[in-house]
Formats: sequence, C-alpha cells, structure tokens
Amino acid sequence: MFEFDEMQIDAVVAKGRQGLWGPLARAVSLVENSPPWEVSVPRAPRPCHIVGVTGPPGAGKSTLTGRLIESCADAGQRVAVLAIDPSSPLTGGAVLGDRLRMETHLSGRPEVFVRSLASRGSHGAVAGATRNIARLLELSGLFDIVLIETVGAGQTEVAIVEVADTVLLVTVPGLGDAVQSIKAGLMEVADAFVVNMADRPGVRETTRHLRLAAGRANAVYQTVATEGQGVDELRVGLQKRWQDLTEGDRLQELRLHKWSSDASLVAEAWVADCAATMDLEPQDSMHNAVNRILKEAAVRWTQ
Amino acid sequence: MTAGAERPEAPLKVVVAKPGLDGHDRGAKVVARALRDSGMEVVYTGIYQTPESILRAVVQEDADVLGLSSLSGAHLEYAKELGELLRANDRADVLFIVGGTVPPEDAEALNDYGVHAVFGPGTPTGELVDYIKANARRVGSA
Amino acid sequence: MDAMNEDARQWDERVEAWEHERVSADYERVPRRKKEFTTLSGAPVKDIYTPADLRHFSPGADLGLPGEYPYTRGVHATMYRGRPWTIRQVAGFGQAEDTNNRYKYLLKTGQTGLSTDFDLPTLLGYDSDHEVYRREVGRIGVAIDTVVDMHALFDGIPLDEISTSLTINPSAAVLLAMYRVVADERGIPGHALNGTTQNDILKEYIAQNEFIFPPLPSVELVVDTMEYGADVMPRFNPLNVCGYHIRDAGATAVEEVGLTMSNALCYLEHAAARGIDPDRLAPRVSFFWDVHNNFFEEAAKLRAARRMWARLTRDRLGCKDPKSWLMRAHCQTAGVSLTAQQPYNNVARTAIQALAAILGGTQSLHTNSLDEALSIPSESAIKIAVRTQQIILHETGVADVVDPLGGSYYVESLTSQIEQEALELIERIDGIGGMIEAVESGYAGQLIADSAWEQQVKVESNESIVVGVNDYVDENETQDLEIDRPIPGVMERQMERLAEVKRSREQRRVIATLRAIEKAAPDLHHNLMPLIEDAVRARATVGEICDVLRGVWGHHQPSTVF
Repeated sequence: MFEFDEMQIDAVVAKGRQGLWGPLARAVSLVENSPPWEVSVPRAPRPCHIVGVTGPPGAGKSTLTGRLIESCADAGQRVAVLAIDPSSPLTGGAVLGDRLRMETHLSGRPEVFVRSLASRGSHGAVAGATRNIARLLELSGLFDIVLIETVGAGQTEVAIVEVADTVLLVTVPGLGDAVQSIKAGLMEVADAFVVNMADRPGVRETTRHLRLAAGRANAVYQTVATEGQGVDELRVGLQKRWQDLTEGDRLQELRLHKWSSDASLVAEAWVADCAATMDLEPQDSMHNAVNRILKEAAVRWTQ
Repeated sequence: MTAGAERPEAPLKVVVAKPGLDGHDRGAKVVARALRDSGMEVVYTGIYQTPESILRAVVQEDADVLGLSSLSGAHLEYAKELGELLRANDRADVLFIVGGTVPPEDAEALNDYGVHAVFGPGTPTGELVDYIKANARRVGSA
Repeated sequence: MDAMNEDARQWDERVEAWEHERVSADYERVPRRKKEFTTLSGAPVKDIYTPADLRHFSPGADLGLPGEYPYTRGVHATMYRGRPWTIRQVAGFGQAEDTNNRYKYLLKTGQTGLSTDFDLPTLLGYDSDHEVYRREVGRIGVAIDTVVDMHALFDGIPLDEISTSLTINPSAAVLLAMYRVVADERGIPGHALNGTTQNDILKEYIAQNEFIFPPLPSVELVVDTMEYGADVMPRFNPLNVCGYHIRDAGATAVEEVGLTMSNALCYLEHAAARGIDPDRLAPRVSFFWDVHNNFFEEAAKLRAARRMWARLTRDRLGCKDPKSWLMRAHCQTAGVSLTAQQPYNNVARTAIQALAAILGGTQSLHTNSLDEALSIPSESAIKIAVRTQQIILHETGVADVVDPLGGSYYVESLTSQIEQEALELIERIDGIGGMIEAVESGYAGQLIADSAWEQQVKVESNESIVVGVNDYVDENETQDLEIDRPIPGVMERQMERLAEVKRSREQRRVIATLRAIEKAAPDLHHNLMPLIEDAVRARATVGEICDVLRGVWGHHQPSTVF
C-alpha cells in the first residue's frame, strides 16, 4: 500500500510548473504498475474537470482529442490527456497509437501532458488505475482539464470513462444504424454527444437519432475534427458544464456516486483475481462456490 | 498485496520513433508488432518526428526503451541530438537503440552519442526482443 | 471450344493418374522439399501445369500478338528486337552540380535515360533553410529549391534528346513546372520534352509516406498536372503510377497490381468528373513496378497488368484511342529483397529479377546496386548494376524474341490468376467507395502492413529462406564494401545559394504569383499549373509554393495501422 507523500507531490509540481514532466511521468508509472487497491491518492484541494472521450472505432476520437487540446490550450486551460488502448489478452502487449494521431497538435505546446496507457488486466482494475491516475493529475494542481480517451468497444471502456465527470460519446454520420448498436451501457453513461465528420451526408439523421435515443436533454455537438470545425463550441460547452457542476454540490454528489461504483469495480477485480487462483470443484453448487470465493477473498484481503 | 499469484513485473514500455522526413516505416511497424507480441507496450509516435517530440514522448510516457528507425542516412545527426537531449533531461537511463540502413562503421560514433545498440537490416525481431529484455531497466546501473 | 474442353478433360485424367502412380511413389522415397510450394503472393504452386490449366484461356482473346489488344505479349510489335529497353538508373545526391556530374558519368557507362532522386526536404515541399529539416539536405537525393537549381541539374544535358524521370510526388507539380521552365528558358519547345514525373500521391498515403496535403486536393492537383502535360508538353508523362513502393512496403504481387490499378483509375475518374476526356490523358499515364524474387510470378505480373489495363481503360473508362490502352512500364528490381549480409549476393538477386522484368516486357529498367541495404549507391556498385542489364541484353539472347514465356502453361495460368485476384481487390476497393476512402479508412494500409508482417513471420520461422540471413550465414562476416558517404558542406552551400536567389529575385513578383495560387487553390477544379509555372519563373521556392497550398488545404493526418 502506498500513499503519495507531500514531498513527492511537491517535486512533481515544482518540475511540472517548469514544463519538466519526468517526475509526474514516474509518479503515473507508480500508480499504473500497482493494483488499484494498493494506491491511495490524497484528495486534491481543488478539483479539475475530468472528461471521458469515447466512441466506436473510426469515429475520429484521437483527432478530436487533438483538436480539443489545441482549443483548450489556446483558451488558457492547462491540459492533460490519458489515451488508453487495449492490451492483447494473449501476450499482455499493446501498440499505443493515439499519441501519433495527436502529435501534430502537440508540437509547440510543451505544456500539454499526454500519457498513453494500456488497459492491462480486468476492467475493474483498469478503471481503478485510470481513476487513480486522473486523481493524481488533479492533485498536482497542474491541470484545468484531464481528457481520458478510449475506444468504446465494450465493458472495460464503459468502466474507464465512467470515472470522468463528463462523458463525451463521439460518433459519425452514416453510422446511423450503428448508433443503435453502440453498447447500451455507453449510451447511458454519456453526458453529451459529438457527431464528428459532420461534413458528411446523414448528419441530421444521426443527430436526431441521438437526441431520441439519449432520451435526455443532452447536448449534441457537431464537429469536423480534421478541420477543427465546431471544436471551440464543444470546448465552451464543456466549460459551461464544469461551471454548472462546480456551482453548489453537484460535483460532490456526482463524484460520490461514481466513487462508490468505482470502489465496487475494484473490489470485483480483487475477487476475480482471487478466484482465478482457486481450484473450484465443478460439482459444487453455485452457492457453495460463491461462498468459498468470498471467504477466501476476505481472508486474503485481511492478510 | 496481491489477490492471486505473484505480481508480475510491469510490461516494458518502448517508444518507437522515426525522426525527420523519411517515411519508410515498414521496419518500424514490424518491430512495433513484434515487441507487442512479446508482451511489451509500444508507443508508436509515427513518422516526421523531431528530436524534441521524441524526447517529449520518452519523458511523458516514462519509457524504458527508445527505438529510433532511420533509413534516410541522417541517423548520426538525429541520434547525436537525441543523446544530448536525453542526458539534459535526466533520461540517460533509457535503453537507446537504433535500427535501419546504418553502415556498420557508424556503430562507434553512435555509441559515443549514447546509443546502446544498433540493429541493421535483416535482424530477426527475436534478437531485438531478447536484447531489450536483457538490457532494459539496467542501463546506468552497471 | 468443346474440343478444347474435351482436351482439358483428358489432361485432367492423365495428370490425376500420373499423380497417383508416379508422383506419390516418388514423394514416398524423396518427400516434398517444402510442406507447401507457393508464389510470394501465397498462391499454391502445383507439381505440373498442363493444357488442363488453360481451359478458360483463349489464345486469341487473352493473348493475341505483341502490339495488339489486349497487349499481354507486349506494348510494341517488335519489342527489344528493334529498340532495347531504356537503362535508367536513378541518381541524385548533394547539390545539383553533384548530381549533374553523376548523370554525365552514367551516360558515359552506356545508360540511355536519366532519373532523378530528390532529397527529403524537396520531396516534402520544404526549402533547404528549414530550421529542423535542413540536416537532410542533399542526403538521399538532390536538393532543389528554385528553378536556378534545376538549371544546374540539367546543365549540358540535351533535354530534347534524353528522356528524364523525376522521382517526386507531393511537390511534383512544382518540379514539373520547373522542368518545363528550364527547357523554355533554354529555348527547347515543350513538345520536344520526353520524360516522367512520378506524381503518384495515392501510393504515398498507403506505402511510402511522403505526403503533404489531404488526399482529395492532392488527387485534383495530379489531374491538374495531367491536363497541363497534355496542353504544353504532350510527349511527357506527368503521372507514373507506382506499384514499386506498395510492394516494397510489404504488399504481395497481387496486391501490388490491384492497388496500383485502383490508384490509376482514381486519377482518371477524377479527371473524367471534371469533364476531361480520358483519351486525352490516358495515353500519357505510365506505370512503375517492383520486380521481386519469385521469377515466374513477376514476369506474369507484368503480362497480367498489361492485359488488365487494356481492358480497364477500354471497358471501364470508355477509352477509344488504342494509345490509352497501353500499360507502358518502368521496372526496378526489389530493393527490399536485398540484404546487408553478404552484400555481393545482391548482384545475383538483381540479375535474376532484371531477367524477370525483361521477360515480362518492361520499357525501362533500374537495377539496384549491391550496397542498396546499406547506403545510397557508390559509383563502382552502380557500374555493376548497369553492366548486369547490358549482359542480359547482349549475351543471353533473351531479348532476341518477343514474349518468350507466352504459351507456357504455368506462366499463362499465373497471368490469368493474378489478373483475376487483382480484379477482385479492385472490386473490394470500389465497394468501400474508392481509393480515397480506402486510404482514409486505413483499409489499404492495413492490407499492406498485414502482408509485411506475414513475410516477416515466414522469414523468422525459416519457412522462407533468405540466403545469408537465416541460412548459409557467415559467422564471422566482415564488411568490406566501399560505402558512399554524404558530401560535407552541402547544407551550408545550398543555404547560401538559396539566400542568393532570394536576394536577387524580384520580390514583388514572387508575392504576386504566390497570392494568385492562394486565391485559386480553394476551387479544386481550377487548374493551378499555369499559376505554379508563373511562380517558378519568378524564382519562388518549392517551400514557398507548398506553404501556400498547405495554408489552403492543410496537412494530411496519417492513419495508424500496424
């Protein structure tokens, strides 16, 4: 179990203020390389806006994230990005290519911090680690906004973006039917929608579709990320949402709610890890098997 | 504290980069794929990179290894500048390797610039993987 | 027809009996050398080919005679019995004067055409004084900033006699205008100019990665150059569609043909959409192929590509001029097949690949030098490469008859198979909305990356043997090659010359011509070439002209495929 002490954080902050990212990057690795239940990140004195960006493959999320980096930085916001790509379940390796797609938006902006992460392990563990890293970035006080980008392909990704205060679901016209097929869970966690590549035919139908499917008065933005169109509007919308959240208790309520679902995911990850190493008898009843797993998990936890 | 077996060592993180204007990335991509398949996490920065952008990737990604691929004959200049940048930014501990069309007699100069190993055309990727596994996270401790 | 089928049926039976009685018994004693024999494209290769394999093949419709539709046997009737292929070695390094000297050396060795490699800043539209990229000035090609450099490059070379190929892509429009202006300022008329700009931007996005602007404006700019060529230099080929780089990046022979043909169709169909008659442009479209190791597949590939292009231009594009139907080809032996280990072996590889190109009926040929995997070629290595072609021409007799492989059961069956599979790939690309879509979605790039990976796996598992690399390795191999080193001081001298040109030119005229390009560029159907020519005449630089277009069209963002 480790907790960041004040000196470590001070070093991260002092160097980070000079645009030297080494200490922060090392601290991120410490969190990334530890199981989420072993890490304790102290609460930040001042929150920053944590925004999840997800959507189906090919929707242009990285390019949009790159444009958001520009727009936020030009508006004087300090930006960090966590770009998460899947690990291979077979080898544990990963090719992390999001940095490449953002690269042109990073040149000349040494103040932006971008970190690629591989989604190692079970979805609970990944979500827990992502949450801890985002909280670490928040604690450093070096950023006004943290963008968490991941492909919206399944349960793991839903769990990752759920960590965020605001979840953007990015899609494109022509995926009209695909919108329907976007994982139901993803539709539900989204706080706002982005129809990217909005210069293509079908943008109105897709927008209408999203409005209907969302069933809430959520914002739907239209962007052409490759050209930068509509990105400033999206950034302003995000700023407005952040204002709304931070006025009064809404952010606290939201985070408390997310915090408990995160905690249960991490607990789930612990139990799954534990069960994976146990010899369970196939002839056992389900009740007995669960009983054994939970007891063993509890014993190991207290050890 | 682990719920299950011994906690495995964290995967090695490798930045694969192509400096300058050379676009021939077949080798870099094949290497990225081979390293991934051997369990490493590969940050691929793509083509048209400057020494500054490559340094930024190494620092921000907290990489264990930097692999530079060059087929444009400008490997000496780029490697020299990167070696200097790594040292100035406290990252001389990164395992620094160069691959591509590098004449063998350039190996010595590259070594002087801080390059730990040079892999020429036709190197089996298995050899590269073995070298990285044996040497990453050990640079500077010797 | 019935007689033929009957014949094929009898051969089927006979081969089956032969396999059963003779072949299996022989394999019993000496098993197959390999588990599976395939071409480099992965097509299975059988024990034997007979008339049964040609049952769908019609010698009249599929083969014909040389110089006749569908040109399977060659684009000219007499082929090398009249004029031999052009020996065209690519060269370029340092400043224009350095390359100019190399040209004169090459012409002295008996080379019959010129071909220019440009340095990376020129290729990508940056000037030699660029803050970051200036360290690449003159490295892998010659540095050209203004038409002043272009004058020096071709100094003393009779542009109305020697054909010249300019290996340039994203900035090709500027270099084409420069070539024309050089000739014009020397008093050589446009119709006397003979040569090629590579100018095939689509393959850059999927293979070689030298691009500036996004695909759509880039393709329209290529159409501009084609139309300009037809207007002012009608014997010049402004577009040379390339399979070479696609293959070198890892594609199979079939993918090379399919993707290249899709690219060629894409340009001509965009031209047609602008109302330009394809018969005005197609006769000046030429092709550039990579000739790799699998001997018969490579010769068959060229034959298949000729037949396909004849059919595609006639039936799909509606071309009526027989000149539009001709797939005229330049070939280069496969750089990617050459090894840094035991580099002298590369002479043998290159000779065999060159032979395949000639048996395939190429119009011109570059043979790689043995030091290809190590550096740009030295003069002694180039000489062996040129001599290789001369030996094939004068000593082997293979050039004394037209299409000697024609009618071979194996080669004809491979030719048909490549044609069919490449057509299927073209259909798949049409299905996803055409080549620009296949570029942007990463489909084409993924295809190539996957094939590259498959080949790597085969070599590493020793399923494919590369002599000197994974077998017959010399344990204590030492390097004894003379390696060509960069010329010192090129960057400084080139920056000086650029500064001098900028000092002496009429600045107001430069700005006015650049503004005119900027104003016209948003309309993608507005032909920019006359405006680019004006800017070139005013001594505007490659970087300045490309910067204006970057400002209007933006940069292309590469897709990520592994």
